Amino acid sequence: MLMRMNIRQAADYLNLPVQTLQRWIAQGFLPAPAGASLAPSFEKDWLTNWAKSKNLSVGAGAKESVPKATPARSLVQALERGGVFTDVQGDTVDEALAQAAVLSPVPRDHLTEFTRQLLDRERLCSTGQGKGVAIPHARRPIEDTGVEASITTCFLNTPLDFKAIDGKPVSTLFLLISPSVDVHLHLLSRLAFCLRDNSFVDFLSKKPLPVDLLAMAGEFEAKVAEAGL
Amino acid sequence: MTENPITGMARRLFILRHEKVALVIAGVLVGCCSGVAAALLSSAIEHLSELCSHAKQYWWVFILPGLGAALSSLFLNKIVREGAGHGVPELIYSVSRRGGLLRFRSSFSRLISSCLTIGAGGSAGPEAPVVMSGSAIGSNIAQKLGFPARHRITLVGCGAAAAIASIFNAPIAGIVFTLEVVLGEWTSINVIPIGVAAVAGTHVGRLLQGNSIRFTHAHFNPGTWDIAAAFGLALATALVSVALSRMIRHSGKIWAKLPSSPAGRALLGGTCVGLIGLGVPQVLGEGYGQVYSLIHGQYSPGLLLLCALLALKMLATSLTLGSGGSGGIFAPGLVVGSFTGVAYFRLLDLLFGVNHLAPEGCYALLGMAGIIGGMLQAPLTGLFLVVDITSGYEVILPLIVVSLVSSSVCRYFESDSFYLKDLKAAGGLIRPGTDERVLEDLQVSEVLEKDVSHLHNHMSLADLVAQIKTSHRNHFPVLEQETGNFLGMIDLAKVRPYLFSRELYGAVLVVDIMDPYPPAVSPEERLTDVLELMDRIQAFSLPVVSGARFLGMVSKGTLLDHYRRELIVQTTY
Amino acid sequence: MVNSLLHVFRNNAFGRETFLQSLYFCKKMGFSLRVYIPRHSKFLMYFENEVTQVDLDQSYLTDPNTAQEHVEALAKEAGLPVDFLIPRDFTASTLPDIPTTFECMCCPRSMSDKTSRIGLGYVGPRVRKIAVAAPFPVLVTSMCYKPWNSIAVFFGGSTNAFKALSLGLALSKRAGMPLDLFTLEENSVNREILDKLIFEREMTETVEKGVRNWHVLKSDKMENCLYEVPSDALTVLGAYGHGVIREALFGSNMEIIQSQIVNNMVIVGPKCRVF
Repeated sequence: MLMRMNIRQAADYLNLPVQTLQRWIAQGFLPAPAGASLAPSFEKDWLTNWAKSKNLSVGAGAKESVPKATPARSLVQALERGGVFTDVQGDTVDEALAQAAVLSPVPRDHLTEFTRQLLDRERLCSTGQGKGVAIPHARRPIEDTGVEASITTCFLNTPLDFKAIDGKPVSTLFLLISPSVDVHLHLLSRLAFCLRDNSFVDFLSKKPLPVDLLAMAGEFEAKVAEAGL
Repeated sequence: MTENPITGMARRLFILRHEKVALVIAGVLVGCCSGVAAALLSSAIEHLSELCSHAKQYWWVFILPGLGAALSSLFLNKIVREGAGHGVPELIYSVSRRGGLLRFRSSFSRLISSCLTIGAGGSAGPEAPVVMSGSAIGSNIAQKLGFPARHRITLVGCGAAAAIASIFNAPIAGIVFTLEVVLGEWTSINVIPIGVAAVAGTHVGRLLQGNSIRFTHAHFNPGTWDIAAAFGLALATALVSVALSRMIRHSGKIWAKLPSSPAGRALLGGTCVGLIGLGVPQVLGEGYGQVYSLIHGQYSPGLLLLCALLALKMLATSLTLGSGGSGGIFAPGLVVGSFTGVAYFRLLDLLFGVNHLAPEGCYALLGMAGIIGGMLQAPLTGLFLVVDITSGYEVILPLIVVSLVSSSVCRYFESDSFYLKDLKAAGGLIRPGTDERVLEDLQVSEVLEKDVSHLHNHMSLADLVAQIKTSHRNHFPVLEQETGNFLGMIDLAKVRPYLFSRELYGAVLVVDIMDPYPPAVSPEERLTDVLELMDRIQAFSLPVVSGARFLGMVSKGTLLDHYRRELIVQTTY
Repeated sequence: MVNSLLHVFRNNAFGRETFLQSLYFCKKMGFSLRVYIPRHSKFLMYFENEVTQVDLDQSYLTDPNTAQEHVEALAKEAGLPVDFLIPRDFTASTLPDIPTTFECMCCPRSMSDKTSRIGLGYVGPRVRKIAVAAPFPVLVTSMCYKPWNSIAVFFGGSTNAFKALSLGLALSKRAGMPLDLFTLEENSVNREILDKLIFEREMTETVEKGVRNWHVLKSDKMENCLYEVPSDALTVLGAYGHGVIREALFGSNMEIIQSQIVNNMVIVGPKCRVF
């Protein structure tokens, strides 16, 4: 069946203002098929061909597909996906990071590469946030592996010197894995919001159970939503 | 239901499915009508001047050109209420800015007025009025048949081409004049209907008036020396054409200062011409008789007298046209050209002797091409016109030299041709295929970005920061909450320092930090002006404000997007 | 988008009445006002497929300087900002081009004739041409200033009548005034058919909501039933009646209406784009 469009629909289809189409008809650049110039109607196929011959992009809704709602944008879900581990071994920063990487949900065949990237990033600049917390992450998001965003929480056995800003030894790692930059920034900002609050830091130092941690993070995330961040 | 059935049928049958065929058919129609108009004017002028020649024995004969001009001015101003001028600039304006829309009254008004002016003895040409009429016929036929603007312009060109073709019996000159002067564009779409129309116009003219080459002549065989001499002649014609253009323009300005009605001015101007004509009747009328005898070498007066005649003809022409008589510059240009050519030849004769040169008639031809090429700054028009009206193909080599050199020398003195100078100064000339053309078609409302989040005057800096987080823009309009009136703009680049001082968040209102008088554009502004403003103040986007209402933003990025799309749509066939 | 109305100011007592009408319209409908004070005896309007020259009566040109003062004073009294239109383009030196990008234009019944010639039943040829060619509706004013409090739409079911109906609905919504529909019952026009047509255009609900009364006039002659039209109504009519197409006339019923009633009329031409 042939689909017919009026000028408004045609303009939407071509992502152009209606005035532009009206003008093109009046000037003769767009031959308006059958009927008075007042209410032209277009066949979809014909219009598509015409648009192609003029190098115009077609298809309504091309703009809408851009912002994809990713479920992993929630901090709680990311924490849940990453898992919470206590008594993580490691005498040096490198060892601790390698251990954390093993515990994280990174696909096994990417593990070596991912660990190397983690260490590279750590060497570039410390990920220690102060207050005994570090948020190690790889410099480039791992896009092609299809992983979802996750945060692996590791409570270290022995606090390590991450050369953090405040010089305190780090006892908690949040290993952040994200598929894209904006998800990365989003999760990082939420995490930072939590860490700004001293009660959360105190709570961390008690090495809480996974369930309690998630509940606490949930509370904070609700606050963030209120603040409109 | 609302559309005329004939129009509707034409649209459906031809214009959409077979637009090229439809154009050619309409072109023939326009060509015939235009050819008839030209033939009518030609014979009307002939009859009127014959009638006037009976008055030769009376003493009051000198007042005749004045009467004719006054009548024609009255006719134009009071009866058909046309604007001033001989029409070609108006035609070019319509083609370049208004999609070739011309009024119906233009299709006959100038025929009658120029007939009165020229028939009574005013020194002007019937060609420009015929071009105007032919084009108006073309435009009105296109309007009736419902052709879109692009094809309407082509049909206007058809009318112009047929008019020139018919009145001069010169089809090629008609085509070339239209493409070079009127349309300024040569595309595969427009050249075919215009060519067909020129053929139709010429043939109609021949049927009505007989097929006669206007200025037949003996054979000339120009040689090497003639080509060399042509360079000198080109310089001479260039100077004369610049002088003639300026004389006509200045005379127009001087006459306009005279405290009198237009008809009074025309009467006075025409009478002055009549007085000149008492002593030197050669300057009256279109003057093709002079051209004929000059080409045939039958013109006896000597060099000095020739120069005097040349000057008087130029004076008479500028008096006639400047004071408000109706007519064109083609015919006077041809007469002046042939005088110049012959005068130049006699000067050469005086200085060096002319044993090696072609006869002086040949130089009359060259002079004509030089003046037309120079005044219109259209070398091809001058060239083909002379070839056509004299069937003088054997002098083509020096002709090319004269018309090309003359028009380039003229360009050195006058930036634009006689027709275009005022038009360009008023911004009325936009040639196809230029940057301006594309920007002219686009409207501000088409490139308007409406997805702009706005702020209210009660909002604080904290609200602004919150807005920034969700918006992808750098500019925020501030509106009055109660009325929605536009108050000012906030440009992120300018308020950046305050954004990070949290202590200011509650204390500073957006109205404190906005720019209350931002540079803004109105929705009617031309995009050329908008872009010029953007360049001048180095802005990438500007608010669009109508009265006190904020409508949206225009930005260079979006503009370029639309510009490119427009260019593609307009230039692919 | 802001809608604007073009008014060509005639600097005499008659012109003042016309201008007051424009001011009232703009105020009620929230239009912005553009005023052209003529400096030349004629102007051109380039429409999509036509060009119209309007030759103004001499009274338009009397003393342009006081004209500006008059306009400003009247607009100030009405509390409206006024934006003067200064033509930018000229077809010939004495022939300005007036843009056609407005949403409405206000015309007296004639612009080319002396005020003494203007009367009922006479609409000047230029005003007709503008109404037929324009992409906007034309407000044809009454002889003297006559405010209105309701809107009356003449509706006969034609394409243009539908445009008039949509315009009437839009105007009544903007101004918050009630809308009355008037239909003359003829062979092919009655309530049922019209209801069906309205349903086909998916306008049933809007019409039911927006229309206060639908008067179906039953009479052989249009003339006899125009008494029903309220005195304080702004009438909206399509420029073509049902059937006959004639360029010079608005359609027979419309001619009768415009010769019988003194109300202000909004004429919706065939090329009109309803905002």
